[in-house]
Amino acid sequence: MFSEVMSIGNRMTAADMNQVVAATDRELWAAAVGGDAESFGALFERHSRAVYNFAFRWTADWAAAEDAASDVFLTAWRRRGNVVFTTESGSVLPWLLGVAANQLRNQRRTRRRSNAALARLDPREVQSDHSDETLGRLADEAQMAHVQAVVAQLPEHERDVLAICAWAGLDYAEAAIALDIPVGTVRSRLSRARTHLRELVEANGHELRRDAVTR
Amino acid sequence: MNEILDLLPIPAERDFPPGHLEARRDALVAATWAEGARESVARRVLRAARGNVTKTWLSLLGLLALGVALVCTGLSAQTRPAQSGAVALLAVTVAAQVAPPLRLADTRRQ
Repeated sequence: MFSEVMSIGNRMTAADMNQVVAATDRELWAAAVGGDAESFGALFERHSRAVYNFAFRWTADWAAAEDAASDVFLTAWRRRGNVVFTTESGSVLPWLLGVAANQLRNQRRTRRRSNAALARLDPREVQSDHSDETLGRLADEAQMAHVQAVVAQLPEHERDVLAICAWAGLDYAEAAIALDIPVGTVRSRLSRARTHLRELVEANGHELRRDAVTR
Repeated sequence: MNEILDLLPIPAERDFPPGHLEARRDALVAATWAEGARESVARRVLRAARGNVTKTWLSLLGLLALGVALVCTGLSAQTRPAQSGAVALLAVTVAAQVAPPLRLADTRRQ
C-alpha cells in the first residue's frame, strides 16, 4: 500500500501524506511489517506523544521519557508479530502502552538496583543535568516525583492499572489489552487502587486539590 | 478515574521539545529499516542453511536405507543355504525313521 514511500530519505508527497493520515493503525502496521519503514514512522508520529507522556508519568523525568518512547517503539517493532489492536477502533495504542509498561517496570527495577549500588559507592546525592530543561518541565518533574512517592506505596499491579487507566486515560477494555489481563481484573484492581490511594493520601496529609486537576 | 486525579493531580501533557520528534522519528525509521534488512539477510542465510541441512539429512537417510537393504539381502542370502540344509536333514531323518519299518514288513511278507 505504501510501497512508494519505502526507502528512507525519500520525501513524502502531499498525496502520500494524506494517504498515511487517513490510514488506520492496522493498515499502517501491515505496511510496516511488509517492509515499509515510513509507515512505522507514521505510527510513531501518531502515538509517540501519548507514549512520551505515559513514560514521563512513570519516570518523572522528561529526558528519560523521550528515550523510553523511542525504546518502546523499537521494542514494538521487534515484537511486531504479537501486536494486538482494539476491537472497536483498531487502535494499536493500548498495546504500545502495554509494551511501555513492561519496559518501564523493568527499567525501574534495574534503576533501583543501580541506584543502590551507586549509593554504596558514593554517599553523595547524584545530581542530574537539567541545563536544557525549561522551568515548566522542572516543575512537572518535581510534581510527578511527589506523585510517584505516594503511588510507589501501592502494590505493583495496582500501580500499573492506575497508570494505564487514570494517567493514560484508557478504558477498561483497552487496559485489559495493555496489561494482558481480563477486564474484570482491571476493574477490581482499579477499585482497590482507588481505595488504597485514598487511604495513603489521607495518611500523608494531602489535600484534595480539584482546581489543580489537569485532565 | 477523575477521583484518582483529584486525589493526586499530575502535570499536563507536553509535546516533544522542538525538533526532537522529527529526529527521533528519523532515527527510528532508520533503525527499523536497517534491522529489517539485516533480518531478511539473516533469514535468507538461515533458509539456505536449513535447505542444506535438509539435503544432507536426506542423503544420510538414503545411504542408511541402502545400507540396511544391503545387509538384509546379505543375511537372507546367508540364511537360504542353511534352510535348504535343514530341509535335507529333515528328509534324511524322515527316511531313516520310515525305512526300517518298511524293511521289516518286507522280510515278514517273504
